[in-house]
Parts: sequence; structure tokens; C-alpha cells
Amino acid sequence: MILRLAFGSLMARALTVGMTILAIALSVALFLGVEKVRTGARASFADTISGTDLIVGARSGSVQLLLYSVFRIGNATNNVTWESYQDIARRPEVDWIVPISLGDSHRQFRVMGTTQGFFEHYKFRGGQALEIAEGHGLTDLYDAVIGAEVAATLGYHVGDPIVVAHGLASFTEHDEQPFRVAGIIARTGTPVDRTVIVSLEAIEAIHVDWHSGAQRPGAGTPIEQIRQMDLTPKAVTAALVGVNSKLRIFGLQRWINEYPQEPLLAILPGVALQELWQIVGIAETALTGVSAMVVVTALLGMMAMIFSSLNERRREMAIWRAMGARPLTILGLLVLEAALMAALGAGLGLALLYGGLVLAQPMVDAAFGLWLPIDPPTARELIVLASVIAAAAVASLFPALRAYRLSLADGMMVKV
Amino acid sequence: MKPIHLALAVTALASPALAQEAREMDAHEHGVSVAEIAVEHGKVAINITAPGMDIVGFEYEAASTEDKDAVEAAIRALLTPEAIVALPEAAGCRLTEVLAHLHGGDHDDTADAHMDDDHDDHDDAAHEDHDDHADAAQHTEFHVSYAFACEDEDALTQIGFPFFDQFANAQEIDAQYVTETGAGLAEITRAAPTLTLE
Repeated sequence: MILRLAFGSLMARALTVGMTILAIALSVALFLGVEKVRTGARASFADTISGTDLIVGARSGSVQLLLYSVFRIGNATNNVTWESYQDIARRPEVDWIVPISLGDSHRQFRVMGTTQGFFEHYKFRGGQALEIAEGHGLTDLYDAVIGAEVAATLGYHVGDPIVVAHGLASFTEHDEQPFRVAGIIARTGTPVDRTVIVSLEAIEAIHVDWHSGAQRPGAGTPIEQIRQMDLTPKAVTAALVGVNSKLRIFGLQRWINEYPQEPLLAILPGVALQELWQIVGIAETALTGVSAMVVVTALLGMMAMIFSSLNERRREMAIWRAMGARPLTILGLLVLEAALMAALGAGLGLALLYGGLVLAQPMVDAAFGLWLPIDPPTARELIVLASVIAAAAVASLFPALRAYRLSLADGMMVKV
Repeated sequence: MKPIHLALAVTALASPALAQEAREMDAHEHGVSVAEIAVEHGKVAINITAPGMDIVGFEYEAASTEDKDAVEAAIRALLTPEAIVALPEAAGCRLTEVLAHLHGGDHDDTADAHMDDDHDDHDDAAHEDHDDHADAAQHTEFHVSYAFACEDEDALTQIGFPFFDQFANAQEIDAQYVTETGAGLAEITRAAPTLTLE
């Protein structure tokens, strides 16, 4: 009975109530959206690398090393010499080691030089291996294997020629030595999708005619001659290492970090990722705080709306009292109305969130390589929704108590 | 001599000796120990590095009888794993290896290591006969490593650190851990002396 009354009363003021519900809905959608992006980003980062015990690079910060070696964000401060790489590879603890060499690009995508081992040992999303969807892996010196995103954006197919550019944003191209697309990797949802993979020797080959960062003038060395050359690299950017026993990881890490001939840094990807979250956590907390304040603002708006409606509804309240409604019933009615508005707002907010996710998911994936999963609301999100409704009920207590006290006296006095 | 003159003199003395070698100094923070924990197939390896300040309350080379006693007591305590780390009862872990030693500057000292007589008062002059690290303040660290073999690996969900009850100056342990499923980072404090392995 009282529920029907409350509902009818809300319907009677459809416009103002509608605006209030919309405000609550938007604030709820924002709050849950921030939460979705936050957890999505974390999951996406955590899924990018698994199965690698240590990442070795030049000594810098562990977060920096992780970002440039795995996520292709930022650049290396220094390279690792081939001698040091070989010293590490010879350690008894090392089960496998995969070198990676970064620094060149193709259009907006990074080019990574590596070995066949990358396809065997790089794992993502809890141990999934890379899969070549079309074509084959690296067999020839001038073979390139491209990620799904590269193929989709540039419209490449197996067999197409591609030219690698020197550096990351430059007009000098290694056009005298074109590559051929040998294979396309199935979509992984990791930075591999946006990478052009070539062999380590190929990186060396395209720089044969380059010295001190500039192209030697005159005709380049003929390709046939390059194929005959010793293309062992002098340095690599970083290396992914698998250790044969987890118990020996820290020992090897210490050995690499104290390696006297060259300042090197070995990091555990999981640990570095957690360090990254510790840094990003402050910004995340700020974002969550701001979006929570938006929810509070929407609820305050609702409270103001109810307060102002009390004036309009004096007569209505008084008639209810005259009909025999107890003051407590009036209070209950107002609180129920508020809870109903908040519930509708929360429901609409959830709908807005999922609608937005469906629309934004492919765009966010393309722009940031961040896959936002569309899952049913988690327990945490349901708790958030329930607390919004509870908070609305509590906030409405203030106008409701006022109505409780004034409903009779106020409304019966005829003021014209 | 003013401190600045002393510092200059020490630097001047030190430079020629150091010219040909790589110089490095590990980070060293009083109150904060470092732990590395690795778990695989029921085997647990724990390494702890603690600043001398946390364990015995000083970092100069022990000279007086009390100081030497303190170092010896600390080594004895470290050699008793149950006083330092607490593995879950249900996991049925047995100690297979323990190693504890005092590490000062760039040379290792065991508990009863040599004590030079001219090292009484840890002043700058005393550093002059340490030509290889004359520019660095001397920090001593305790290193301890334990190895356990456990019967029930799945019960290894958390590790307690009675370490804090043992050493009143210790405030925090920065722990890195590796398990078969992943690696992580945790801050173990006096107020919350437990590491949960995820």
C-alpha cells in the first residue's frame, strides 16, 4: 500500500524525480566505471607476462625495465652487451634465455628483434603460448612475424613486404632491406599484438651500413653479401630468463645484480608489477575518491530536491495526517521514496555502465591495448550499489524528520 | 681538524686506491630488513638480511665483551629458525639447512671474527687503514638463510615472523616471494608480522 503510494507520488513529479534519478545514475555509472577500468587495467597488465622468472636489462629502475621490455612503454637507458648476455646464459640456474632488441619501428608499431625461443617461452594469461594464426614463424633472415593489431590496422597479409624505419619517430627507413610478412600471431590482448617481430640477426643486418647512428653514404652493402656476414649482435636491449628451479631465482638475481663487468638489473616481473601498482595506487585512490564524491553530490542533490518538495507537499502531508496517517507513516513514505529513487538510479547507472562498456570496449582495446571484460557485477559492486541506496535512505531522513515534525501544524494553517 | 678537511683528506687518500675498481654500495636502511622467500614442490628457501642496528643495536665492529656477547647471542638466535620464522604447523616442515653470519663492509665475519684493536671507537681515522672502502660508512648486516622441506605444500599459505619478538629494534621486513604460481612483494611490519602467500 505505502509502496504504491510512494511510487505514485514519484510518478506525479516525474520531471524533477527523473532528473534526480539521472544524476544518481550517472554518478553510479562513473564510480563503477572507474572501478572497472582500474581492475581491467590491472588484470590486463598481470596477464601480459607469465612463465618468465627474471627480466634482465641495463641497471635502471625495476618498473622502468618492466615497462620497456614487456609493455613497450618508454625506452631503455642502455643496452646489455652480448658478452654479458652470454655470461648469464651460461649460468647453471638458467633454463632458457630469450634476448630482445628494441629501438626500430614500423609505422606506429615497434619492431622487436628476438630468437625462436620467444615463441616457445613467452607466455601470457596464465601460461598460454603464442599461436601463429597465418603463415609460419621466422625462418629467413628477412622474415617478419606481426601481431594481430599490426595486421588489422595496416591491412597486411602473409607475403606482403614491409620496410622498417630507423628509430621510433624518424623518416629514415631501412628501405634497402625490405622484410616480408611471414606470419601473423593470433590476438593475445598483450603488447605483442602491436609488435613486429624479426630475428636478432635481422636487426644487426639492417644496421650493417649504419655507424654512430647515421647511414654511411654511398651504395649499401648488397643483401647477398650481408647474408654471408657474421650477424652476431653486439648488444641486446633486455633478456627474458627462465630459471630451472624457483628456489634459485633469488640467487641468480643477486648474481646478475652484482655482476662486476657491467651494471645490470634483474627483476621478477610479478614483483616489479606490484611496485608499479604501489606507485599508480595513489592516483587510483584519488580517482576513486573523486568519483565517490560525485555519488555523494548526487545524493545531496536528491536531499535538496526532497527538502524543496516538502514545501509543495505541505497540503498533501496534512491531508494524510487528517486521514489518519501517523507521523511515522509520513517519515516512512519519504524515506521509501528516496530509496526507490536511488534504486532506480543505481539500476539505470548499471545499465549505462554496461551500455558504455559494450561501446567503449573495442575502442579502448585499440587505443590502449586494454581489454575491459564485460562480467556480471561483482559482489563488491553490488555492495556499492546497496550502499548508495542505503545512503540515499539515510540522507532522506533529514527532510523526512522535518516533515515528521511539521506535517500537521504546517499544513493545516491556511496561508494564502 | 674540521670535518670537511678530514673528509677531503680521506677522499684524497681513497681515490688512487679506488681508481681501477668498480665502486658500489648497497642500500642500507635501519629498521628495515629484507627477506627473499622461494617456494617450490614443498621446498622453502628463506633468506633474511637485517641491518646490524636492528639485531644488536650497533654497527661498529664489536670490541667490548658486551658487544661480542650481543653478536654471539644474535647469531645463536638466528640459528634457531623457530625464533625467526613460523611456517604453518599443518605443512609439516622440517629444517634442512641453516646458515647465519655477520657481514660487515666488504668482508665476511663469522660470529667470532677478527677484531682489530684500533677499531674501538668507529671514528673516521679508523677508516684509513681500510683503504678499500675508506669513503663509505661501515654498515654491518646479519645474513641468515633457511631451507625447509615440507610434506603438505598446499598448507603453506602464510609465514609468521617471530623475528620481531626476538629483535626489538626491527620494525619492518620488505619481503619478495616466488611461488609456483607467481611472485609478489609484501611489507611485513611489527604490527602485522605475517606474510600471506598468494
